Amino acid sequence: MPSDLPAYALAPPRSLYVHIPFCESKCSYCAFNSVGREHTPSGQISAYVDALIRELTELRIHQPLETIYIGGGTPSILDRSSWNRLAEAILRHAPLEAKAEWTVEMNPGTLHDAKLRDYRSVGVTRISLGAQSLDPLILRSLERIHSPEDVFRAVDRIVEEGFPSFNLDLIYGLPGQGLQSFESDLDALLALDPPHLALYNLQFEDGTTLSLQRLGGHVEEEREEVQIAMFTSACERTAAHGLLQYEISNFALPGHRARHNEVYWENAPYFGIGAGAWGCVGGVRYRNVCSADRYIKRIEAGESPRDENDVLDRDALFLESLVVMLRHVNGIDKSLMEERFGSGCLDESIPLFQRWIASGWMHWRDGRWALTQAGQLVSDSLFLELLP
Amino acid sequence: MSESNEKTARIRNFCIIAHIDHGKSTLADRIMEITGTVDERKRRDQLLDDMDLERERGITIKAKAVEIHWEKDGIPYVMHLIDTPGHVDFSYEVSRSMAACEGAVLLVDAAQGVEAQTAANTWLAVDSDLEIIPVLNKVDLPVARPDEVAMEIESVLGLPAEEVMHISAKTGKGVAELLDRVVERIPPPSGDPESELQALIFDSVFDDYRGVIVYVRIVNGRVKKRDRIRMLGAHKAYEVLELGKFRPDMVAVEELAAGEVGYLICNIKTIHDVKIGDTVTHQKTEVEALPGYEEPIPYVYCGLYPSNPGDYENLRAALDKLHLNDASFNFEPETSDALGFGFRAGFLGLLHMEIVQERLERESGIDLVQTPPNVTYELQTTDNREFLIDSPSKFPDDGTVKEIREPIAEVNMIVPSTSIGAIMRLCEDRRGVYIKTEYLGTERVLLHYEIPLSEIIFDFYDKLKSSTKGYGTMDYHVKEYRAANLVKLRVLVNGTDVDALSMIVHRDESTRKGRQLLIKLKKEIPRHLFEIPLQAAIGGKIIARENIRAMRKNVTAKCYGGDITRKRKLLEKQKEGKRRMKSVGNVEIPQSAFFAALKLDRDE
Ligand SMILES: Nc1nc2c(ncn2[C@@H]2O[C@H](COP(=O)(O)OP(=O)(O)OP(=O)(O)O)[C@@H](O)[C@H]2O)c(=O)[nH]1
Ligand code: SF4
Ligand SMILES: [Mg+2]
Repeated sequence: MPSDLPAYALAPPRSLYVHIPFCESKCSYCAFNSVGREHTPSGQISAYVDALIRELTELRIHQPLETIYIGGGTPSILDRSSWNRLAEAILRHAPLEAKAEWTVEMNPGTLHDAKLRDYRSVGVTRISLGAQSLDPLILRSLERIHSPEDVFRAVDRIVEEGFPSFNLDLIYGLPGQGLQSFESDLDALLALDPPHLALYNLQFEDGTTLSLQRLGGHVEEEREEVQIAMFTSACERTAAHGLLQYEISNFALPGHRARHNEVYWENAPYFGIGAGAWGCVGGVRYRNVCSADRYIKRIEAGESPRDENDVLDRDALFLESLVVMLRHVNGIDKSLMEERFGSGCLDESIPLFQRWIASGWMHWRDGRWALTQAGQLVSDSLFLELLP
Repeated sequence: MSESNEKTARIRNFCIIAHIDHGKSTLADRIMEITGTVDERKRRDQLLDDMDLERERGITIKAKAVEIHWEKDGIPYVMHLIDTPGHVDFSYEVSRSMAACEGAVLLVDAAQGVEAQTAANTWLAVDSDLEIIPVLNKVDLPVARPDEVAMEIESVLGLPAEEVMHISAKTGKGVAELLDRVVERIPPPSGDPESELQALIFDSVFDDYRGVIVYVRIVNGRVKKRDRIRMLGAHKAYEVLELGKFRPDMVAVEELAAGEVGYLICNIKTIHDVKIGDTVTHQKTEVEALPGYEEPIPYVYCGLYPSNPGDYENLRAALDKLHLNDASFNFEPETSDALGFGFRAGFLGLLHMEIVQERLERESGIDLVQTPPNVTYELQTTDNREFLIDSPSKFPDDGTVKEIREPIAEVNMIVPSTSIGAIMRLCEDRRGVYIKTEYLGTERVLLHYEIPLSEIIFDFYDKLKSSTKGYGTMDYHVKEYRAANLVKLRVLVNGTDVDALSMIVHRDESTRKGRQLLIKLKKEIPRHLFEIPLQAAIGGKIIARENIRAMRKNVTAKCYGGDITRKRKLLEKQKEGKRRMKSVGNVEIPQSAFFAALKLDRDE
């Protein structure tokens, strides 16, 4: 019964997320919903794309979309015919605005000139490339399928193909990485002039090989001081290249922010399709079944693929909004929050914010509360204090 | 003999006593089975252990009465059997049960032999003038050694070996013969149904709808529905709305007469009107009070605080209710600088404390913070005043203490002869004083020691078990208070004295314990956004310090799509965890930290 939600949360979504749950092979740190080729029966990917198309068709999207994000997994694993069927269905059933952003994630190890050309020709505007590291040893230990050279080659091709924007992913805090090697990787990537950089702190996710390795004492978490140094150094180096931090883990040249991701950080609605995909429509954040097989079966049987529904109430939406907004440099826009949740909605938070300001974790500027760099680093501890 | 006296002559009341796990509850199952007391479909193992905690832990915590019917030589008998717990912490349940019986079935595991609690319970039964029927249980086990164990029963307990019965509570072998023996050997109750009503309250329980339900053994006279009754200790009259028997569920009857065991429901809403051991009689009748029970003396105390200060009154109500069902713990309000308003509660031992705390949380739904337990101490001040303290925070800091005395326990341990050396070392480590050794055959010995209670209540039993490959057993009771060189160790967290963490320790061990305690606390208290100094002090002198470093990085890398739901749920869960912590100054201290003191190992 999400009727007490502010209007914006109930508005028709203007964004679409499409999940491709397949990879060449599984990386050791990865907890995304994806499986390697060895666990993917032949023909499944093609059947999966058919199911995706059917789920998309049944969304009956009327309003033009502002962003599309095809993520995974490894979307670039789709062969050309599967891709073309999917792209065609998107163009037919998901009307795009003139200036829409359309991102496809790509693994440098799956680079394929013709595929890149296909992406560009249907209107993909942005490639997100998982570089992660430029150290061959680390790449191997993470069980990545690519070399540092693959990264450089992929960037060259992306630029040549004329994509208006692209992103590079980089991980810091990897076991054995060290500050210096991280800085030189970062410099090398910045030398490629990426318009956008996502810089992720390594997380030991439950159930991953890496977590097991840590439990077994085979790898160790990097010391806290070093990780902090990596983060602060990264903020300085990116800024020197004109890439400004706009979310805890994201940096962009002006005009190159990931608009799709900003939808998440505004806690605004969006469609999600595919196995394990999350969506947020009509005040319900839902998740589809994770297994590709079960997803296909449900769709083929004409059943809903949804497996979990998080029915948001006003309090939940309010809390989430504070969290995602504080992760963003825009911070909490006082008047926007009051417009959405009523005037005085922040009254109880303000004394807390004042304490944070005094501790150097937050600043108040132009009608917004935003976290400082020190505040970002301990943001999870701070968020806990937002709860009543 | 009048008809009603004849009826009394055909009653037998007995309890089943034994060391823990020797099969009391299983025997009760078999007895209920062959007497047709319980429907087949309701049967399950250890049926009388009906509390969740009892089933989870596989031990009996509460004594339970059940009425059974048995015919011998064509004559029908009514018997009340009481299944008792075996653990030393619950021996108050055993002694109360004995007061409602004329005899006891003493079970001894035919493989394990006589254990410390076997002996302790036998002496209790002898003191209560009960007719004892010694029985070897588990004779079905291939490792059973019935002849040897029968000899142990004779030599240790003084009960003739040839009279020892052989049964298996598991297979049912010998159980019918045992019931016949009960009829023959245990005398009928001596009470007179025609005289004035005297009923002993041996237990009670609070029911939200029906008020206090009183469990009684009718000693003399009879009680019927709609009778007006009173408790001698309460000066208030009640009407009996329902009365009945345990079969083993409560079954209403019209009348209970001398010798019988049953329950009374009188819509009693004032919990304090009912006292275990009190005597029930009719409203207008004057009778003498029955002997009742000796109040057990708790020697182990801890603080119980609601995690949420708003639950203080609920906690009081929950304690009152639970106390009705377990009179062996006591409590009174206490205030802690660190924890606010709560209660100081006394227990018969550590397991008892754990069970009470769990029952409180389960039965009332209140989250508790419990402070580390301590024993009681006697103090003498410089102006020669004497008092008893039940909490280290009541220990005067001003140097006015002239002498401090601690409780000394007489400890009996039955251990394999091969581990005597290890056990003696353990006892010496714990400041024990050797008294004597008795040999039980060639393989086992009974060791007598006097050991400060504070040294045995925490991990002594575990150490005894591990030094004897699990074969050692022990029993103890407090003998007296003795002077010792003890000091109070205080703990400061972020500069604030956390009274709930202070402890009384032997001076020779104070520095080591202080250091160890801080190291444990450092592990238990989560890092905060600021640095937290920890200090241990004796008097004004800091004897140890540690620092909990400030948390400088705690950040999630990705927050897209479904991560938002996950993040919110995680925050809600973490917040719940935080609510269970106590905030002292501005430091959140988890319950586990209050228990760190318990785990100070001398080997570290
Ligand atoms: N083999 C065998 N096992 C038995 C027999 N009697 C009891 N047991 C087992 O011994 C264990 C303990 O039995 P309980 O009846 O719970 O013992 P208890 O004396 O009531 O234990 P507490 O109430 O905790 O003191 C259980 O696993 C029983 O199944 C028997 O005659 N033979
Ligand atoms: S390629 Fe990406 S999604 Fe696939 S396993 Fe590696 S990290 Fe996970
Ligand atoms: Mg039992």
